[in-house]
Amino acid sequence: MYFEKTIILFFFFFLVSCEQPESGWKESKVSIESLQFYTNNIKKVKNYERIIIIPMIGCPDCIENAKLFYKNNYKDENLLFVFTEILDLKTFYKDYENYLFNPNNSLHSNIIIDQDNSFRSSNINFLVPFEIKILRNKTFIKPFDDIL
Amino acid sequence: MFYFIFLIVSFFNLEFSIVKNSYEFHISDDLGYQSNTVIYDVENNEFLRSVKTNSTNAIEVFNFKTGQLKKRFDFNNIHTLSSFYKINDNEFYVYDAFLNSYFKTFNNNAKLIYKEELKPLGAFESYIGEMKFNPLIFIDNKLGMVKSFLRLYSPLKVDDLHKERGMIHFLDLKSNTLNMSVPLPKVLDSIDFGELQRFSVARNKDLLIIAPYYSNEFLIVDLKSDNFIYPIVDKSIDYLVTKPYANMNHVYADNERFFAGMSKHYIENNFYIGILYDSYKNKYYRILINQVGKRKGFSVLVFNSKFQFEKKVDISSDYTYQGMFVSEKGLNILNHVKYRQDNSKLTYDSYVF
Repeated sequence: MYFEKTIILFFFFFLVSCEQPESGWKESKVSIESLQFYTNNIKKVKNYERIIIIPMIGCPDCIENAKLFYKNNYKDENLLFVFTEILDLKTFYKDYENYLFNPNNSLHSNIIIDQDNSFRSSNINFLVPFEIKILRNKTFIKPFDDIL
Repeated sequence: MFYFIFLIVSFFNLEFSIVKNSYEFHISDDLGYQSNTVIYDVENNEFLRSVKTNSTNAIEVFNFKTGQLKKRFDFNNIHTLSSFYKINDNEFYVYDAFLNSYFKTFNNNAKLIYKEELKPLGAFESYIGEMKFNPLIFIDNKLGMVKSFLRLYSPLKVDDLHKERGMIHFLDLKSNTLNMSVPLPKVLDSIDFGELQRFSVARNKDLLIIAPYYSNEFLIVDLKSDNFIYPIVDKSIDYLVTKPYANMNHVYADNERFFAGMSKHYIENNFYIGILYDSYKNKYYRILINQVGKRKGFSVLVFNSKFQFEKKVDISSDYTYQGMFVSEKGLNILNHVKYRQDNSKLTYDSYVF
Protein backbone atom coordinates (compact mmCIF):
# COMPACT_ATOMS: atom_id res chain seq x y z
CA MET A 1 0.00 0.00 0.00
CA TYR A 2 2.79 2.36 1.01
CA PHE A 3 4.63 1.51 -2.18
CA GLU A 4 1.52 2.19 -4.34
CA LYS A 5 0.99 5.57 -2.69
CA THR A 6 4.60 6.50 -3.38
CA ILE A 7 4.22 5.52 -7.00
CA ILE A 8 1.02 7.59 -7.34
CA LEU A 9 2.67 10.58 -5.69
CA PHE A 10 5.69 10.21 -7.92
CA PHE A 11 3.51 10.23 -11.05
CA PHE A 12 1.56 13.20 -9.71
CA PHE A 13 4.74 15.25 -9.23
CA PHE A 14 6.04 14.04 -12.56
CA LEU A 15 2.90 15.24 -14.31
CA VAL A 16 2.95 18.60 -12.53
CA SER A 17 6.61 19.15 -13.33
CA CYS A 18 5.95 18.26 -16.97
CA GLU A 19 3.44 21.09 -17.19
CA GLN A 20 5.81 23.81 -16.05
CA PRO A 21 8.11 25.50 -18.54
CA GLU A 22 11.83 25.69 -17.87
CA SER A 23 13.31 28.71 -16.16
CA GLY A 24 13.23 32.01 -18.05
CA TRP A 25 9.55 31.66 -18.96
CA LYS A 26 6.97 33.92 -17.37
CA GLU A 27 3.27 33.25 -17.28
CA SER A 28 1.51 35.92 -19.31
CA LYS A 29 -1.95 37.43 -19.09
CA VAL A 30 -2.62 36.65 -22.72
CA SER A 31 -5.63 34.43 -23.21
CA ILE A 32 -5.39 31.72 -25.79
CA GLU A 33 -8.70 32.85 -27.27
CA SER A 34 -7.18 36.21 -28.12
CA LEU A 35 -4.42 34.62 -30.15
CA GLN A 36 -6.05 34.31 -33.54
CA PHE A 37 -2.91 32.91 -35.08
CA TYR A 38 -3.06 30.09 -32.55
CA THR A 39 -6.74 29.22 -32.67
CA ASN A 40 -6.74 29.29 -36.47
CA ASN A 41 -3.81 26.93 -36.66
CA ILE A 42 -4.18 24.89 -33.49
CA LYS A 43 -3.14 21.52 -34.89
CA LYS A 44 -0.23 22.99 -36.66
CA VAL A 45 1.10 25.08 -33.78
CA LYS A 46 1.29 22.18 -31.32
CA ASN A 47 3.84 20.31 -33.41
CA TYR A 48 6.61 22.87 -33.08
CA GLU A 49 9.40 22.99 -30.53
CA ARG A 50 9.59 26.74 -30.52
CA ILE A 51 7.14 29.50 -31.49
CA ILE A 52 9.01 32.69 -32.26
CA ILE A 53 7.04 35.91 -32.54
CA ILE A 54 8.62 38.70 -34.57
CA PRO A 55 6.87 42.08 -34.34
CA MET A 56 7.82 44.24 -37.31
CA ILE A 57 7.58 47.48 -35.36
CA GLY A 58 9.63 49.20 -32.73
CA CYS A 59 13.34 49.72 -32.59
CA PRO A 60 14.81 48.45 -35.90
CA ASP A 61 18.03 47.23 -34.29
CA CYS A 62 16.09 45.32 -31.63
CA ILE A 63 14.46 43.06 -34.22
CA GLU A 64 17.55 42.73 -36.39
CA ASN A 65 18.78 39.56 -34.59
CA ALA A 66 15.43 37.85 -34.95
CA LYS A 67 15.17 38.76 -38.63
CA LEU A 68 18.64 37.39 -39.28
CA PHE A 69 17.83 34.27 -37.26
CA TYR A 70 14.71 33.80 -39.36
CA LYS A 71 16.56 34.14 -42.64
CA ASN A 72 19.14 31.56 -41.51
CA ASN A 73 16.67 29.10 -40.01
CA TYR A 74 13.36 29.33 -41.83
CA LYS A 75 13.91 25.85 -43.28
CA ASP A 76 14.13 24.28 -39.81
CA GLU A 77 10.79 22.54 -39.40
CA ASN A 78 11.03 22.46 -35.62
CA LEU A 79 10.60 26.22 -35.51
CA LEU A 80 7.42 28.17 -36.08
CA PHE A 81 7.76 31.83 -36.98
CA VAL A 82 4.90 34.26 -36.50
CA PHE A 83 5.25 37.71 -38.05
CA THR A 84 2.98 40.28 -36.50
CA GLU A 85 2.49 44.08 -36.52
CA ILE A 86 3.45 44.26 -40.18
CA LEU A 87 2.98 47.88 -41.04
CA ASP A 88 3.18 47.43 -44.77
CA LEU A 89 2.57 44.04 -46.42
CA LYS A 90 3.89 45.40 -49.72
CA THR A 91 7.39 46.05 -48.40
CA PHE A 92 7.27 43.01 -46.12
CA TYR A 93 6.76 40.65 -49.08
CA LYS A 94 9.39 42.51 -51.05
CA ASP A 95 11.98 42.25 -48.27
CA TYR A 96 11.31 38.59 -47.56
CA GLU A 97 10.40 37.29 -51.02
CA ASN A 98 13.34 34.86 -51.07
CA TYR A 99 12.56 33.49 -47.62
CA LEU A 100 8.79 33.03 -47.53
CA PHE A 101 7.70 30.86 -50.41
CA ASN A 102 8.22 27.30 -51.65
CA PRO A 103 9.14 26.69 -55.30
CA ASN A 104 5.42 26.10 -55.91
CA ASN A 105 4.80 29.65 -54.62
CA SER A 106 2.99 28.70 -51.43
CA LEU A 107 4.01 30.04 -48.04
CA HIS A 108 6.43 27.81 -46.10
CA SER A 109 4.42 25.68 -43.68
CA ASN A 110 6.28 26.93 -40.58
CA ILE A 111 5.43 30.60 -41.16
CA ILE A 112 2.33 32.43 -40.03
CA ILE A 113 1.64 36.00 -41.06
CA ASP A 114 -0.55 37.43 -38.33
CA GLN A 115 -2.47 39.90 -40.45
CA ASP A 116 -5.08 40.43 -37.73
CA ASN A 117 -2.39 41.57 -35.29
CA SER A 118 -3.85 39.29 -32.66
CA PHE A 119 -1.19 40.28 -30.14
CA ARG A 120 -2.22 43.92 -30.21
CA SER A 121 -5.57 43.17 -28.58
CA SER A 122 -4.06 40.66 -26.19
CA ASN A 123 -2.42 43.29 -23.99
CA ILE A 124 1.13 42.12 -24.56
CA ASN A 125 3.13 45.30 -24.74
CA PHE A 126 6.20 44.45 -26.68
CA LEU A 127 8.65 45.99 -29.05
CA VAL A 128 11.07 43.11 -29.19
CA PRO A 129 10.82 39.55 -30.52
CA PHE A 130 9.77 36.90 -28.02
CA GLU A 131 8.82 33.26 -27.74
CA ILE A 132 5.52 31.92 -26.59
CA LYS A 133 4.59 28.56 -25.09
CA ILE A 134 1.16 27.18 -24.29
CA LEU A 135 0.71 24.70 -21.46
CA ARG A 136 -2.55 23.62 -19.86
CA ASN A 137 -4.44 26.56 -21.37
CA LYS A 138 -1.96 29.05 -20.00
CA THR A 139 0.45 31.12 -22.02
CA PHE A 140 4.08 31.67 -21.10
CA ILE A 141 6.46 34.09 -22.75
CA LYS A 142 10.15 34.92 -22.72
CA PRO A 143 12.34 37.29 -24.74
CA PHE A 144 13.65 35.74 -27.95
CA ASP A 145 17.05 34.16 -27.70
CA ASP A 146 18.86 33.44 -30.97
CA ILE A 147 20.56 30.31 -29.63
CA LEU A 148 19.29 27.14 -31.26
CA MET B 1 -28.80 85.05 -44.05
CA PHE B 2 -25.39 85.36 -42.35
CA TYR B 3 -27.02 84.81 -39.01
CA PHE B 4 -28.61 81.66 -40.38
CA ILE B 5 -25.24 80.35 -41.59
CA PHE B 6 -23.68 81.24 -38.26
CA LEU B 7 -26.40 79.25 -36.51
CA ILE B 8 -25.77 76.22 -38.68
CA VAL B 9 -22.00 76.44 -38.14
CA SER B 10 -22.47 76.81 -34.37
CA PHE B 11 -24.94 73.98 -34.26
CA PHE B 12 -22.57 71.51 -35.89
CA ASN B 13 -19.53 73.01 -34.15
CA LEU B 14 -17.43 72.63 -37.26
CA GLU B 15 -13.97 72.40 -35.79
CA PHE B 16 -12.61 70.95 -38.99
CA SER B 17 -13.57 69.62 -42.37
CA ILE B 18 -12.02 66.99 -44.60
CA VAL B 19 -11.39 67.29 -48.32
CA LYS B 20 -11.11 63.78 -49.70
CA ASN B 21 -8.60 62.62 -52.31
CA SER B 22 -6.69 65.89 -52.43
CA TYR B 23 -3.51 64.34 -53.73
CA GLU B 24 -2.32 61.04 -55.16
CA PHE B 25 1.29 60.02 -55.67
CA HIS B 26 2.15 56.93 -57.71
CA ILE B 27 5.02 55.30 -55.86
CA SER B 28 7.65 52.78 -57.01
CA ASP B 29 6.77 49.06 -57.05
CA ASP B 30 9.34 48.20 -54.40
CA LEU B 31 8.58 51.03 -51.96
CA GLY B 32 5.80 51.35 -49.40
CA TYR B 33 3.93 54.14 -47.70
CA GLN B 34 6.45 54.80 -44.94
CA SER B 35 8.63 57.82 -45.56
CA ASN B 36 11.11 59.63 -43.37
CA THR B 37 11.14 63.20 -44.70
CA VAL B 38 8.55 64.60 -47.09
CA ILE B 39 8.88 67.98 -48.78
CA TYR B 40 6.35 69.93 -50.79
CA ASP B 41 8.49 72.09 -53.09
CA VAL B 42 6.00 74.78 -54.12
CA GLU B 43 8.39 76.62 -56.43
CA ASN B 44 9.14 73.59 -58.55
CA ASN B 45 5.71 72.00 -58.23
CA GLU B 46 7.25 68.84 -56.77
CA PHE B 47 6.63 66.46 -53.91
CA LEU B 48 9.70 64.65 -52.58
CA ARG B 49 10.10 61.91 -50.01
CA SER B 50 12.97 59.88 -48.55
CA VAL B 51 12.49 56.17 -47.96
CA LYS B 52 14.61 53.56 -46.27
CA THR B 53 13.96 49.87 -46.87
CA ASN B 54 16.06 46.77 -46.24
CA SER B 55 17.45 46.94 -49.74
CA THR B 56 17.74 50.64 -50.54
CA ASN B 57 17.77 54.27 -49.46
CA ALA B 58 15.93 56.37 -51.98
CA ILE B 59 14.53 59.80 -52.73
CA GLU B 60 11.45 59.87 -54.93
CA VAL B 61 10.48 63.06 -56.78
CA PHE B 62 6.88 63.44 -57.95
CA ASN B 63 5.09 65.98 -60.08
CA PHE B 64 2.89 67.56 -57.42
CA LYS B 65 -0.06 68.16 -59.73
CA THR B 66 -0.18 64.91 -61.66
CA GLY B 67 1.22 62.70 -58.89
CA GLN B 68 3.45 60.89 -61.38
CA LEU B 69 6.95 59.82 -60.36
CA LYS B 70 9.45 62.04 -62.18
CA LYS B 71 12.75 60.81 -60.80
CA ARG B 72 14.20 58.47 -58.29
CA PHE B 73 17.65 58.43 -56.69
CA ASP B 74 19.11 55.38 -54.89
CA PHE B 75 22.19 55.63 -52.68
CA ASN B 76 24.08 52.40 -52.00
CA ASN B 77 26.52 53.70 -49.41
CA ILE B 78 23.93 55.33 -47.17
CA HIS B 79 22.66 53.27 -44.23
CA THR B 80 19.62 55.22 -43.05
CA LEU B 81 18.50 58.14 -45.17
CA SER B 82 16.42 60.37 -42.95
CA SER B 83 16.49 64.10 -43.75
CA PHE B 84 17.55 65.78 -46.94
CA TYR B 85 17.82 69.21 -48.49
CA LYS B 86 17.42 69.74 -52.22
CA ILE B 87 20.26 71.76 -53.78
CA ASN B 88 19.07 71.39 -57.39
CA ASP B 89 17.41 68.76 -59.59
CA ASN B 90 20.32 66.32 -59.26
CA GLU B 91 21.98 67.23 -55.96
CA PHE B 92 20.99 66.89 -52.32
CA TYR B 93 22.48 67.26 -48.88
CA VAL B 94 21.54 64.17 -46.94
CA TYR B 95 21.71 63.20 -43.27
CA ASP B 96 22.25 59.55 -42.36
CA ALA B 97 20.69 58.94 -38.93
CA PHE B 98 22.50 55.64 -38.36
CA LEU B 99 25.99 56.72 -39.41
CA ASN B 100 25.45 60.15 -37.86
CA SER B 101 26.90 61.54 -41.09
CA TYR B 102 26.25 64.19 -43.69
CA PHE B 103 26.52 63.42 -47.42
CA LYS B 104 26.36 65.42 -50.61
CA THR B 105 24.76 63.51 -53.47
CA PHE B 106 24.93 63.83 -57.22
CA ASN B 107 22.53 61.62 -59.15
CA ASN B 108 22.91 58.20 -57.45
CA ASN B 109 26.31 58.89 -55.90
CA ALA B 110 26.58 59.98 -52.29
CA LYS B 111 29.84 61.45 -51.04
CA LEU B 112 30.52 61.64 -47.30
CA ILE B 113 31.24 65.19 -46.22
CA TYR B 114 31.24 64.88 -42.43
CA LYS B 115 30.83 62.19 -39.77
CA GLU B 116 29.97 63.32 -36.27
CA GLU B 117 32.04 61.83 -33.47
CA LEU B 118 31.11 62.74 -29.94
CA LYS B 119 33.50 60.64 -27.92
CA PRO B 120 33.67 62.78 -24.77
CA LEU B 121 30.02 62.08 -24.14
CA GLY B 122 30.79 58.56 -22.98
CA ALA B 123 30.00 55.17 -24.37
CA PHE B 124 26.32 54.98 -23.60
CA GLU B 125 25.06 58.48 -24.06
CA SER B 126 24.41 59.82 -27.46
CA TYR B 127 22.94 62.53 -29.59
CA ILE B 128 20.42 61.14 -32.03
CA GLY B 129 18.97 62.85 -35.10
CA GLU B 130 15.30 61.94 -35.35
CA MET B 131 14.26 60.41 -38.65
CA LYS B 132 10.83 61.96 -39.02
CA PHE B 133 9.58 65.52 -38.54
CA ASN B 134 13.17 66.69 -38.34
CA PRO B 135 14.17 68.57 -41.51
CA LEU B 136 17.78 69.12 -42.47
CA ILE B 137 18.28 72.88 -42.22
CA PHE B 138 20.34 74.84 -44.70
CA ILE B 139 21.22 78.41 -43.80
CA ASP B 140 24.23 80.66 -44.57
CA ASN B 141 26.23 77.78 -46.05
CA LYS B 142 25.67 75.67 -42.94
CA LEU B 143 23.72 72.45 -42.46
CA GLY B 144 21.83 72.16 -39.20
CA MET B 145 20.28 69.17 -37.44
CA VAL B 146 18.41 69.17 -34.17
CA LYS B 147 19.60 66.30 -31.99
CA SER B 148 17.96 64.46 -29.15
CA PHE B 149 20.04 63.50 -26.16
CA LEU B 150 19.43 59.93 -24.98
CA ARG B 151 20.88 58.04 -22.04
CA LEU B 152 20.65 54.50 -23.36
CA TYR B 153 22.35 52.95 -20.37
CA SER B 154 23.36 54.49 -17.12
CA PRO B 155 26.76 53.16 -16.15
CA LEU B 156 28.02 56.54 -15.05
CA LYS B 157 26.62 59.67 -13.61
CA VAL B 158 25.72 62.06 -16.40
CA ASP B 159 28.31 64.77 -16.39
CA ASP B 160 27.65 68.37 -17.28
CA LEU B 161 29.07 68.04 -20.77
CA HIS B 162 25.71 67.79 -22.44
CA LYS B 163 24.59 70.99 -20.79
CA GLU B 164 27.50 72.85 -22.31
CA ARG B 165 27.09 71.33 -25.74
CA GLY B 166 23.85 72.03 -27.47
CA MET B 167 21.02 70.48 -29.32
CA ILE B 168 21.40 72.13 -32.73
CA HIS B 169 24.43 70.83 -34.55
CA PHE B 170 25.65 73.09 -37.34
CA LEU B 171 28.06 71.85 -39.94
CA ASP B 172 29.92 74.74 -41.58
CA LEU B 173 30.30 73.62 -45.18
CA LYS B 174 33.19 76.01 -45.86
CA SER B 175 35.45 75.04 -42.99
CA ASN B 176 33.98 71.53 -42.51
CA THR B 177 33.70 72.08 -38.77
CA LEU B 178 30.84 71.30 -36.44
CA ASN B 179 29.45 73.71 -33.89
CA MET B 180 26.64 73.28 -31.43
CA SER B 181 24.24 75.81 -30.09
CA VAL B 182 21.16 76.14 -27.88
CA PRO B 183 21.29 74.19 -24.62
CA LEU B 184 18.91 71.35 -23.92
CA PRO B 185 15.78 72.32 -21.98
CA LYS B 186 16.49 72.89 -18.30
CA VAL B 187 14.04 70.19 -17.24
CA LEU B 188 16.45 67.58 -18.62
CA ASP B 189 19.06 68.54 -16.02
CA SER B 190 17.07 66.48 -13.56
CA ILE B 191 14.42 64.47 -15.41
CA ASP B 192 15.16 61.66 -17.81
CA PHE B 193 12.26 60.91 -20.18
CA GLY B 194 13.97 57.76 -21.46
CA GLU B 195 13.49 57.02 -25.13
CA LEU B 196 10.93 59.79 -25.35
CA GLN B 197 13.49 62.45 -24.65
CA ARG B 198 13.32 63.48 -28.27
CA PHE B 199 12.42 66.53 -30.33
CA SER B 200 10.67 67.29 -33.57
CA VAL B 201 11.25 70.41 -35.61
CA ALA B 202 9.48 72.83 -37.94
CA ARG B 203 10.86 75.88 -39.68
CA ASN B 204 9.17 79.22 -40.13
CA LYS B 205 11.53 81.40 -42.19
CA ASP B 206 14.47 82.17 -39.87
CA LEU B 207 12.77 80.67 -36.86
CA LEU B 208 13.22 77.09 -35.84
CA ILE B 209 10.44 75.68 -33.71
CA ILE B 210 11.58 72.76 -31.62
CA ALA B 211 8.94 70.63 -29.93
CA PRO B 212 9.69 68.02 -27.26
CA TYR B 213 8.02 64.62 -27.42
CA TYR B 214 7.20 64.72 -23.71
CA SER B 215 5.36 68.05 -23.36
CA ASN B 216 3.37 70.68 -25.25
CA GLU B 217 6.14 73.26 -24.82
CA PHE B 218 7.92 74.98 -27.70
CA LEU B 219 11.45 76.20 -28.02
CA ILE B 220 11.78 79.00 -30.56
CA VAL B 221 15.24 79.60 -31.99
CA ASP B 222 16.21 82.53 -34.19
CA LEU B 223 18.60 80.92 -36.67
CA LYS B 224 20.29 84.24 -37.48
CA SER B 225 21.21 85.10 -33.92
CA ASP B 226 20.92 81.76 -32.03
CA ASN B 227 18.72 83.53 -29.48
CA PHE B 228 15.97 81.37 -28.11
CA ILE B 229 12.83 81.62 -26.01
CA TYR B 230 10.31 79.29 -24.43
CA PRO B 231 6.85 80.81 -24.96
CA ILE B 232 4.36 80.27 -22.15
CA VAL B 233 2.11 77.31 -22.84
CA ASP B 234 -1.24 76.29 -21.47
CA LYS B 235 -0.41 73.62 -18.93
CA SER B 236 -4.02 72.52 -18.56
CA ILE B 237 -4.17 70.83 -21.96
CA ASP B 238 -2.00 67.82 -22.69
CA TYR B 239 1.02 69.41 -21.04
CA LEU B 240 3.25 66.65 -19.69
CA VAL B 241 1.99 63.73 -21.76
CA THR B 242 4.97 61.52 -20.93
CA LYS B 243 5.75 60.45 -17.40
CA PRO B 244 9.36 60.92 -16.26
CA TYR B 245 11.35 57.71 -16.56
CA ALA B 246 14.31 58.32 -14.26
CA ASN B 247 16.28 60.93 -12.40
CA MET B 248 19.08 62.29 -14.57
CA ASN B 249 21.38 62.57 -11.57
CA HIS B 250 20.99 58.99 -10.39
CA VAL B 251 23.27 56.16 -11.34
CA TYR B 252 21.41 52.95 -12.15
CA ALA B 253 23.73 50.03 -11.66
CA ASP B 254 21.68 47.47 -13.58
CA ASN B 255 22.13 48.65 -17.16
CA GLU B 256 20.16 45.85 -18.72
CA ARG B 257 17.17 46.60 -16.52
CA PHE B 258 17.52 50.32 -17.18
CA PHE B 259 17.45 49.73 -20.94
CA ALA B 260 14.57 47.23 -20.79
CA GLY B 261 12.63 49.67 -18.63
CA MET B 262 13.09 52.36 -21.28
CA SER B 263 11.39 50.24 -23.93
CA LYS B 264 8.48 49.55 -21.59
CA HIS B 265 8.23 53.23 -20.74
CA TYR B 266 8.23 54.05 -24.47
CA ILE B 267 5.13 51.97 -25.17
CA GLU B 268 3.27 52.92 -22.02
CA ASN B 269 3.22 56.68 -22.56
CA ASN B 270 1.71 59.19 -24.93
CA PHE B 271 4.02 61.50 -26.82
CA TYR B 272 4.15 64.28 -29.41
CA ILE B 273 5.81 62.69 -32.43
CA GLY B 274 5.87 65.71 -34.69
CA ILE B 275 5.30 69.35 -35.45
CA LEU B 276 4.41 71.04 -38.74
CA TYR B 277 4.11 74.69 -39.64
CA ASP B 278 1.25 75.89 -41.84
CA SER B 279 2.59 78.98 -43.63
CA TYR B 280 -0.76 79.57 -45.34
CA LYS B 281 -2.67 80.01 -42.10
CA ASN B 282 0.24 80.82 -39.78
CA LYS B 283 -0.58 77.94 -37.46
CA TYR B 284 1.34 75.08 -35.91
CA TYR B 285 0.16 71.47 -35.76
CA ARG B 286 1.43 69.05 -33.18
CA ILE B 287 0.83 65.35 -33.62
CA LEU B 288 0.06 63.51 -30.41
CA ILE B 289 0.35 59.72 -30.29
CA ASN B 290 -2.16 58.27 -27.83
CA GLN B 291 -0.95 54.93 -26.55
CA VAL B 292 -2.65 55.05 -23.17
CA GLY B 293 -6.15 56.11 -22.34
CA LYS B 294 -9.47 55.20 -23.87
CA ARG B 295 -8.78 56.42 -27.36
CA LYS B 296 -5.76 54.96 -29.13
CA GLY B 297 -4.36 56.48 -32.31
CA PHE B 298 -3.28 60.01 -32.95
CA SER B 299 -4.61 63.54 -32.58
CA VAL B 300 -3.65 66.91 -34.02
CA LEU B 301 -3.36 69.89 -31.69
CA VAL B 302 -3.65 73.25 -33.42
CA PHE B 303 -1.79 76.32 -32.12
CA ASN B 304 -1.97 79.86 -33.44
CA SER B 305 0.99 82.01 -34.47
CA LYS B 306 1.54 82.99 -30.83
CA PHE B 307 1.71 79.34 -29.80
CA GLN B 308 -1.64 79.50 -28.07
CA PHE B 309 -3.71 76.35 -28.09
CA GLU B 310 -6.76 76.49 -30.37
CA LYS B 311 -8.18 73.00 -30.72
CA LYS B 312 -7.54 69.31 -30.55
CA VAL B 313 -8.85 66.95 -33.20
CA ASP B 314 -8.76 63.17 -32.94
CA ILE B 315 -7.90 61.65 -36.29
CA SER B 316 -9.78 58.59 -37.51
CA SER B 317 -7.94 55.26 -37.52
CA ASP B 318 -8.29 55.26 -41.33
CA TYR B 319 -5.24 57.53 -41.40
CA THR B 320 -1.56 57.31 -40.56
CA TYR B 321 0.72 60.13 -39.43
CA GLN B 322 3.41 58.91 -41.84
CA GLY B 323 4.35 61.40 -44.53
CA MET B 324 2.06 64.26 -43.42
CA PHE B 325 2.60 67.61 -45.10
CA VAL B 326 1.01 71.04 -45.38
CA SER B 327 -0.22 72.64 -48.60
CA GLU B 328 -2.65 75.39 -49.55
CA LYS B 329 -5.48 72.87 -49.04
CA GLY B 330 -4.61 72.21 -45.38
CA LEU B 331 -2.91 69.47 -43.41
CA ASN B 332 -2.61 66.48 -45.71
CA ILE B 333 -2.87 63.11 -44.04
CA LEU B 334 -2.27 59.76 -45.70
CA ASN B 335 -5.35 57.58 -46.00
CA HIS B 336 -4.16 54.17 -44.89
CA VAL B 337 -7.34 52.33 -45.85
CA LYS B 338 -6.99 53.46 -49.45
CA TYR B 339 -3.33 52.45 -49.46
CA ARG B 340 -4.25 48.95 -48.31
CA GLN B 341 -6.78 48.74 -51.15
CA ASP B 342 -4.22 49.89 -53.72
CA ASN B 343 -0.61 49.97 -52.58
CA SER B 344 0.71 51.47 -55.82
CA LYS B 345 -0.21 54.97 -54.71
CA LEU B 346 -0.42 57.28 -51.71
CA THR B 347 -3.74 59.04 -51.31
CA TYR B 348 -3.93 62.12 -49.11
CA ASP B 349 -7.03 63.74 -47.64
CA SER B 350 -6.79 67.35 -46.45
CA TYR B 351 -7.83 68.30 -42.94
CA VAL B 352 -8.91 71.93 -42.81
CA PHE B 353 -8.80 73.36 -39.28
